Amino acid sequence: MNFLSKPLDRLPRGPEGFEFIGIMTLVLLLFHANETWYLRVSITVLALIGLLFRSVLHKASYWWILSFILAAVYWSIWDLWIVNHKFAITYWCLAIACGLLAPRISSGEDQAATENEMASTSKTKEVPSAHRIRENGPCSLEDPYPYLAVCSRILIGLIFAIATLWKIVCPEFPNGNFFHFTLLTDHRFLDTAELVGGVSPEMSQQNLAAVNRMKQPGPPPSSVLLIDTPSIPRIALFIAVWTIFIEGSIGLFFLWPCQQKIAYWRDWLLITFIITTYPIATVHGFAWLIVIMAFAQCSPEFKLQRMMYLALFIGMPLMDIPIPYYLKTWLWMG
Amino acid sequence: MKDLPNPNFGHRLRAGIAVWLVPVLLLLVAGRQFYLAQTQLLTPWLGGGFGMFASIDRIDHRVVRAYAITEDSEIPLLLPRLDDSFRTQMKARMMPAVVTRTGYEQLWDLQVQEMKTRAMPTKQRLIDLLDQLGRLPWKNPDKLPIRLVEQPPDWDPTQIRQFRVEVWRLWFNPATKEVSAEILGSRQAPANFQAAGNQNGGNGEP
Repeated sequence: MNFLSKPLDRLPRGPEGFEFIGIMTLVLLLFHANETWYLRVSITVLALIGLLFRSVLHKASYWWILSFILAAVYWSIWDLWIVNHKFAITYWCLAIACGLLAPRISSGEDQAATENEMASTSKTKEVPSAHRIRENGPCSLEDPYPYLAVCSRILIGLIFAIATLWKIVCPEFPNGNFFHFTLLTDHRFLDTAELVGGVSPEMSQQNLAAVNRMKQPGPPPSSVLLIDTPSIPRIALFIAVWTIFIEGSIGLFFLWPCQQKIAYWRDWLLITFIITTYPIATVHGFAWLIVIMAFAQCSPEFKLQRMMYLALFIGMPLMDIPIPYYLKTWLWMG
Repeated sequence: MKDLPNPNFGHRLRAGIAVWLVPVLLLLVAGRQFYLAQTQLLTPWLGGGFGMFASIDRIDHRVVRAYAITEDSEIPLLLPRLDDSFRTQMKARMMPAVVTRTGYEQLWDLQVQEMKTRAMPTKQRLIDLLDQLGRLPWKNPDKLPIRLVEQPPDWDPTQIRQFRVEVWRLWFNPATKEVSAEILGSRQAPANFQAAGNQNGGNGEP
């Protein structure tokens, strides 16, 4: 790992690290906040301002304006096609705005003031929350906005915990029925079903046509039959169990109070989830957002994890490469 | 907040807001979504409850079926869906050859209402969708922004007595590998209820 030591040491930290987070968020907004023309125009203008004038990124008012625009637009069309990660993007911008309003922790006067405050409160055993954050770390002394890191961790934990709860509550998920149906009828999963499940392209097309027949106007047919292979139910059950396990673990680890060992392993858990999920379930807006939030909460001491998050952010568009399709084609041609 | 008499209190208040405001907001929205999904048949894939990839019941797998009812027949209506692109709809002849501005606005309103009804088929949304159908220029079929599935040879729009809308969702039985449909809600209303305003329709949900 010696060849990585220089790049790892150059990873942004402190105020520069926060600017990185801001820039990544603006890139996410440019690509994924475009449901209506007025949203697209306003977000583009604001994002360009933030990218060109970096000092703006440290202004809470800037993020409040972004949050307000996102919240107003998404709330007005919440029941049309606003999927979950649009809500999560709005929460994240709000979290940045709130984080910038919180007391800033930095070296010098602020640190001395905090230490004086500690000395004055030591008799009553009251520890300022900022120092408690440092002590329970892994938040670094160099992080000017430690509250944003804490909020980010909690948000990731809640998102995954609620998602896990839904998967347990819906009766068709734990027994694999959801993925059984999805592998046969969702175009994002067809290549995977064909690659590992032995489903042929003809079978996939017949399944899609069958489902479309159920959606035609007029009285629906009583039922249609899907075609699958013996492997599909087993694969579906495996994916369902794995999903509940990893999402539940991420929720638990990220909501657990900040401790060094748990902090170390939870990032690897999340990285594993991103790498194994998003090449197939191509919800890249959500993946990008999770990476940004994870980067924000990841301590600068965990250099390799931070580098992985940055690499995932930069490499996310590569997940659009239809790897299952090319693998399938290569195997069949071979 | 800068002038709070107790700086320690102000410090803690701002820190508390910075950490907890957004998570609490997330929980409130997710809780609302869970409640609507359980009581108002909101699809788990919408509403900010992070129920995506948990249920088969996504908005794409729900269907709104509309019928124009005459004295002796029921004619299915081809409702254009908002999630189908404009060009796809034109190709499928789901739109009239000449789309006037009024027709385009009516089409947009109809599509939005169709999608809202599909996402959460409450009684009011079904009524609103019937209202949209009633407002269409049925007496001028060339300007209708929707199509009949099959036009009877002696078709006369004045023969329409009622409209009915139904919302269905797909379901999958892994044991038999059958995909079937179950109805979530339906509503029927007289065709002339536009003159009477947005009054209650006829039958309720099954």
